[in-house]
Amino acid sequence: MINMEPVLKRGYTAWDQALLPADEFTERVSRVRAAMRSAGLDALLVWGNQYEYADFTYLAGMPTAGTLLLTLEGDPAVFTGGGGRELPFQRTLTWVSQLSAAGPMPGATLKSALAERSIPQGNVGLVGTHLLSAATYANVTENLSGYAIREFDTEFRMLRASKRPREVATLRTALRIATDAAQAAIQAFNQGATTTEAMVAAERTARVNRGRDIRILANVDSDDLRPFEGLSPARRTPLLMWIGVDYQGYWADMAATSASTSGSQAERAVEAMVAAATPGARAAAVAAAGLAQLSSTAARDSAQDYGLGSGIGLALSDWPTISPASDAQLVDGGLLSLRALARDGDDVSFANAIVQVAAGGGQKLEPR
Amino acid sequence: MAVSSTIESQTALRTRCLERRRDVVRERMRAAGLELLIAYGSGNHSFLAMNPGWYLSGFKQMGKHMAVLLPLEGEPILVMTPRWDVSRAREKVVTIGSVVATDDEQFLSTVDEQLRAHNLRSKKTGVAGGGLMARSVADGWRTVLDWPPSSAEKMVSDVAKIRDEWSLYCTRTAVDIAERGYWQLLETAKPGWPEHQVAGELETFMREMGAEDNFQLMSASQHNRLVHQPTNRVLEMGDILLGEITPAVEGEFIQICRTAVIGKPTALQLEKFALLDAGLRAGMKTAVPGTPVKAVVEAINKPIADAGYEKYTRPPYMRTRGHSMSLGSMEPEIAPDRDHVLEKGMVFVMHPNQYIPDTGYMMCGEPVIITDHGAEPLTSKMGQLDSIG
Repeated sequence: MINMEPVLKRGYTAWDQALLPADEFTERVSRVRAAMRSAGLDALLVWGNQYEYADFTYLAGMPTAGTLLLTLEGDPAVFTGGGGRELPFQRTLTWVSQLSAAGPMPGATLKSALAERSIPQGNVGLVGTHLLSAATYANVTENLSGYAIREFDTEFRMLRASKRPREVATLRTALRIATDAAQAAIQAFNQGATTTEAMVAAERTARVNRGRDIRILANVDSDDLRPFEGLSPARRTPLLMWIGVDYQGYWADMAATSASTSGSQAERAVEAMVAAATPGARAAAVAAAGLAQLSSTAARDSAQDYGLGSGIGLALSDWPTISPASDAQLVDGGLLSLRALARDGDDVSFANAIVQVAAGGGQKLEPR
Repeated sequence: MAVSSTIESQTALRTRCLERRRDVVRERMRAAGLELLIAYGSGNHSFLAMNPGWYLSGFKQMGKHMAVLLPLEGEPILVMTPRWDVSRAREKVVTIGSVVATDDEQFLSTVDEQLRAHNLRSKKTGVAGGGLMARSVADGWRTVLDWPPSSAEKMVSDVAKIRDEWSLYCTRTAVDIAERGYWQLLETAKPGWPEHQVAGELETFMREMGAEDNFQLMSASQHNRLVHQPTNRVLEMGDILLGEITPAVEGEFIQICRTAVIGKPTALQLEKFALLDAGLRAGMKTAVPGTPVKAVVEAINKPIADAGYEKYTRPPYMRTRGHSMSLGSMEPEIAPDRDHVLEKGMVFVMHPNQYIPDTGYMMCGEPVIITDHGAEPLTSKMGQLDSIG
């Protein structure tokens, strides 16, 4: 779900080693190295920034900005874009021991790091270069001009698509925080709170319960979902709210409403999409299954405007997008957030489910 | 009745200032020989990067991309994403008659359609992209324009760096929220609370006051190396709690930097904090219009260096002594490698936040406005070394 990006992920920021221990990341490294060998790569460079960190964090652990260098042997290294003052804190967030600052133009540092690893030439895969500014991209490619470089985004995305058990557990923790936040909002609303007061109630609960980032939209002063832009005296019934919560970089989101969704159009649409979420199924077919449950053009239009869902995990809206126009095929073990906001005049319903793609249809995740 | 007339006057003030921004930017365009300005806005919001689209429209978007197409003559056009947010855009955008909603994937093609429909493709064009324009968008302008555009970054920044009445109104509202939030924290935080709870309670208190966003770092230690995002560390007596508190109102951020000791501050802590306070006051006194920012840095550093800590006034211990946080302009930055010159009406945070080896990192910073007499604080009470519990 598209929402308002905050200027800083500013909630609970500490490495939960019980959920995501260092050995989890060494296993991921092994998986990526196998793909590198198959592709004939000698090294891989993976970028992330504070807005899009999924690929970087999959290996580095910390959901922040940086460049990760992975070779076929030896430990990975992380280069941050700052001046180095933040390194002591960043070291507490990652299992990677080789952490240093490379500044905003990391090309020369990356070239030296490759040489130090006895890779003076060869094939280097790049993931996430779309995040780089034109100047930084030029700096990197000029410094790596002696290497055969190629984009490795699609292959890396497919490696991440099927989720590991600890990823599922971490997402379920985020879902617990989101669920409790939704309950706090609805309780406040049912006790007379305004729509924006209910949003604040949800946010307080999520932050105290260790959400790292919290996104909330609600029907503030409007039938549409909107971000918080100051307190409003309006109290629109029923309350419609969407909540996204990040724990350890892993996202869960949910639809919340003060009205019962049981048997609603939106719930039927979501259930149909859940049943269709099998390995190999086309994302377009999943979308079609949901849309078929909506009784009017208006309801189908609103559901498509807000989106029927996407992959979820280290990104709130990850691959694949669930849309009639998508040509993606679902991957066994992938996680999807499926939703429908169906509006036809005054008749409105909102529902969602987070599921893991499985042979018998999507398996709904429960809060942990 | 009084409330409604206040709201009405705020609306009128906002409209008047947005009209003025549009008109002044057009004057600069004319002077620069530009016929069209594309003021881009990234949905990757940052308080350390310009958002020219927001500055000219007054609309903070949720989608990835937004652009104000401002011709020298004729009606401006706003292209925004996503489609379902168009009603909010139309409510917020009071000086642009044409609002076109599209999806992120169709952003550039929609801009292309609008340029063609209004015969703007061949105009002499400047692009103000802000600091967060994606490479694909930066490359894309060439495909929707007949001629390569020039950079209009500085043109918009030069207008925005002197705050108008609406900007100052929002800024002062945000300052009030920040101060009240911090005072609430001093009353409520206590030993046993984890950092993230302290930060979360402050965050939502300020939300209740009207803050729409917040760049907030908050952490504690017996000997801080720097301030960072909150962890599960539990506050205990003797900890020094640091807060960089930056609420936003209508897209205008303002920052206060504060330090509080859990328990009673020691004489050593008070002595070292006084160095930071002396640096701040020296910097404020120096900061009259026409002063290069390097001179302000020197003024701030002098009392700290004179006390034997010169090494710590340079990187990696110190990055900058202050900066603008207006999405319209990143000027000034109070840093030794900047050539900015202070002008009357600039607003920024001046912060001699400093690592001192005897006590650790402490924070001391005020939002200020440049006047003929130097930098004046926008806060009702300047920061001090506070005590909790």
